[in-house]
Amino acid sequence: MALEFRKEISVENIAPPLEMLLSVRWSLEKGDSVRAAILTYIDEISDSRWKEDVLLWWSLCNMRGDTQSAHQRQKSLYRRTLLQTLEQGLAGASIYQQICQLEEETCQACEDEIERYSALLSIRALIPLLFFQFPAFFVLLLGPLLATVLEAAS
Amino acid sequence: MVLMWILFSVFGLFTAVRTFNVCESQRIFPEKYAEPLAIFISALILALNFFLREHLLAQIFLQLGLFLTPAFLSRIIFFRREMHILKNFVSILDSVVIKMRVGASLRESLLSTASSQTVSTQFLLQEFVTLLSFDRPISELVSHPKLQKNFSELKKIDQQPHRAIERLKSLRRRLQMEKKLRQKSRKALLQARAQATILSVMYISLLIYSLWKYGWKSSGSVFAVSLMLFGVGSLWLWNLGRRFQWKI
Repeated sequence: MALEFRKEISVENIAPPLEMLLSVRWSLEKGDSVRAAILTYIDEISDSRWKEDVLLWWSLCNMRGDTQSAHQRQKSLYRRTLLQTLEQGLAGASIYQQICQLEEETCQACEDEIERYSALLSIRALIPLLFFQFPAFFVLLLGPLLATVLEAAS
Repeated sequence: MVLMWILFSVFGLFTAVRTFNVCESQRIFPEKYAEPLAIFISALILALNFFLREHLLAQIFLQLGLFLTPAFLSRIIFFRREMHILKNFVSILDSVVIKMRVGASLRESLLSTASSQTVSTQFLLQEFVTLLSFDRPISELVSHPKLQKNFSELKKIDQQPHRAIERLKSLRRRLQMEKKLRQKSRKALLQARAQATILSVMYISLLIYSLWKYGWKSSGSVFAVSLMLFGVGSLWLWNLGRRFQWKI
């Protein structure tokens, strides 16, 4: 479970709203209803904060309660819009086109975020290099030499 | 002693045949190589037994190794096969869609696609078609959850072939998009990981040289400090990207 969670927060994974969009669109294209599509996604989603949020939102939807609190938990505009669109679908509106467009937008946003992250990554990679790995090399190269010299001097 | 040697030699030949049969049933090598390979392995075992007639212990280890090989081998092969087919699933779907467009059924398309694939993919696809025929669960064939999901979708399409091509194309589009995004993010991490690997190789070489030159006794504490620093740095580098949280 811990390993799964680590994988969940890795950059190598797909952003949760995009994962949900892909899953819902796929289910809709298969001919499933919006409700079935959401249930399929909930079945396959791994444990994470996003899962908790989706489950909370889903239970509010089922109880016909006010889902505003579930929307407010989402800082991302994409996640909020996705949940609102799905609610429209649950209410009976046709949402396939909106899902397709939202998927495109989210995909673009993901690519942008990956680019921003990779630009920062080269700088982040310098920190362990400068503060740990280079000193380790220096210690390994000069340490025994200095120890020998000091021993000889004493 | 001679009797023991003869007994172990016969046992060795039996285990070699057993290992070979397992390899053949798992289709680790193409069928056309089965006969020459069987002759080669038998000859090799006979020759090894003959040369090891003075070293009974070595002979026992050899037979034991041969005896345990199928268990390890099947696990490794199973894992490699799953990874290979998972990597090529999109191209397999492409091929299946093209064949279905010209009128073939899903099973025919899968079998036809299998014939142009590598031995391992061929094996899995053919087994999958058999599984479809006997309506056996997917978990018997593959253990990877993603692969199970993909195969179960193919199974659903086989059972309810309504709009089969559209559903296959939809599955393909989803897998392709996931693959594209994963590749992009993996590319971002690749540089940091390559840097960590090269530095590790250089460091280990230097450490071995220093240990050989100065010895652990004279500068043990220096080596320990250096190792600790390098370990922390490497862990840091390898874990870059693991604590990433999507903002969108």
